Amino acid sequence: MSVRYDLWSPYESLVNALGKAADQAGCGDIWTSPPIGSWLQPSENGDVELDGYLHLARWKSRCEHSKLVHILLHAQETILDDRGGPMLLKSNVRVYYYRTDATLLQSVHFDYGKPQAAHPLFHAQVSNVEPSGLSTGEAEELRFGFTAGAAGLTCYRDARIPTSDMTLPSVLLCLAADHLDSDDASQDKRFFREFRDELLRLQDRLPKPSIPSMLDSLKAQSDHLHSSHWFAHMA
Amino acid sequence: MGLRIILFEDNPEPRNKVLEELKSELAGNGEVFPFDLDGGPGRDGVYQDRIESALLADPYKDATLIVSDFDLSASQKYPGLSEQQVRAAANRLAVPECGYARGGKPSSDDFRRLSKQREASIVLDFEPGREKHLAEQAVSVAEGFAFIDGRLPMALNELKRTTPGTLMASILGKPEYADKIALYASGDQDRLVDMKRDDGENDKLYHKRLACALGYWLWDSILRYPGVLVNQVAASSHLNILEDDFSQSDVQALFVGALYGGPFAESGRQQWWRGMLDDIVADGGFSDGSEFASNRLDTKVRPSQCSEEPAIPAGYYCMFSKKPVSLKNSRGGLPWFPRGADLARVSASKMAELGPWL
Repeated sequence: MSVRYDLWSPYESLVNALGKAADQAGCGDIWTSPPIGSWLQPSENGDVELDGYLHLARWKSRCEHSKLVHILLHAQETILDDRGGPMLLKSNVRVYYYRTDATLLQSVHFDYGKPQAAHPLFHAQVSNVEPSGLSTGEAEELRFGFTAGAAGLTCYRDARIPTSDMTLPSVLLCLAADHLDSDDASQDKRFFREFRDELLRLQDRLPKPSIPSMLDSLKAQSDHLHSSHWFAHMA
Repeated sequence: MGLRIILFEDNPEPRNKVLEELKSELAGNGEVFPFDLDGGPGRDGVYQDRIESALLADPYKDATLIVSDFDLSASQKYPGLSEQQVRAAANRLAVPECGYARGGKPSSDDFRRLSKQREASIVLDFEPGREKHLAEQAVSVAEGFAFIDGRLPMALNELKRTTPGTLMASILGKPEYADKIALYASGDQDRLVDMKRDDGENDKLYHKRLACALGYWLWDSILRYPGVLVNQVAASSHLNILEDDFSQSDVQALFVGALYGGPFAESGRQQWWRGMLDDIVADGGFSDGSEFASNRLDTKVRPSQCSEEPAIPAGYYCMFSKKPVSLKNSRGGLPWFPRGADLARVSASKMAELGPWL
């Protein structure tokens, strides 16, 4: 299935940059399913759908670097392949944290999509839901050997927490910030900086969310990040 | 300066045949010299040092390429010699080297070749009676290395940020693929050690070594593992076109704009730029190559078939069976696969057979 090269290749570079930084930091492994070149597929209505999994296996925890977690990430995004530049129409990134004994610690999903009333344009929801729809083949490809049914603490899933742009590149950047380097000041967050620099180099080639009302709101009240900005599309 | 090829062959009959074909293939664009394995002064010292000294003198000096038989044991002056010692001497002098074996033994053992990725080597196909084919490949390899050597100074001058990826992309005239090519450097760094300048090394020697390393990297990794470039089977699989249909001239004509024409293109391994194939299909507004070709040719161009389960399309390429394979019936991510080779897989049946050794 064909999607233009300059649309899918920045994602491949981005994920591989994270893999390289994780390798160099001795942070852990990264497995993908399917291969990133197949993450983007044309949809019947002419948009492009991104659908892919990442398994950050045995990644170090930030505070206690000796502690390890497994992180499963499932990204689903919808992109308008506009000649003026690709535009992100929708994004749903689910992040699942597991103990190495295969118990789910928690999951969180980051949403961005069509503006809806009383619905922050970018938001997160914390939950304890196991990944659904992960096939045996995909799990094998991801070296993800956990069985469902070992959910962590009960939590209230309906609270939407407004966030900044937490689409796939931003989620990866946050994971890099949380895990690549220890809190040891002498390390100067070297590996995070390297990944961030690579993301900055790539970000102009990655699809951007369409947020005209939020941008207008920010321009009008740029002295403070008021909560009203999150609902600017309702003005 | 024309090409200069040095031939190591201990058996007079094939030597004469290969020499004749090499001269014919060079067609005035260079010279070929048989390395004297039987006569001449000096029999002291280890083979590697003696060969290295000889290669620094006339008529062998400034060689573009060394072509060597795998088994050189019948040499009178170097009894028991093999291509390995020739390669070691060539590597020290940063002269590209390629080998062949009568009967084609080295290239037939793919498992051995794949697992020996860290050793830079080029193995040419050869069967007795097919000296012309061997000569065609050897001259293409020599031209490829000469091309890289010629383009290197300009590429080094032009680039603001020199990395293996940007350098190779610039030499190939495809700067837009620098990021993808760079992924062929990940996980396979030993091959690229020669790209770093040694302390006090002069420009001439450094460029020679760099050109040699880039050539091996291109041949051994970038051209071998489908990702940035794709061979005939991998191209048809990725485009979702049945290989038989993809080999038809009218179908091939649709994708001619994506044909690879860079170094080693004439070595019998036809390749396409995968990104350009994607763009041809996507710009036409089609979801895969089969739909695109069927529309353009107004005839049914059949979709690809997974070699493990013909009822489903392929999409990928098994490095062992060299057949199209689906994601479902294959496995990727082997340690020695370069990261950029996202279309390279191992089919389920090969995995079952070789899995414990992979």
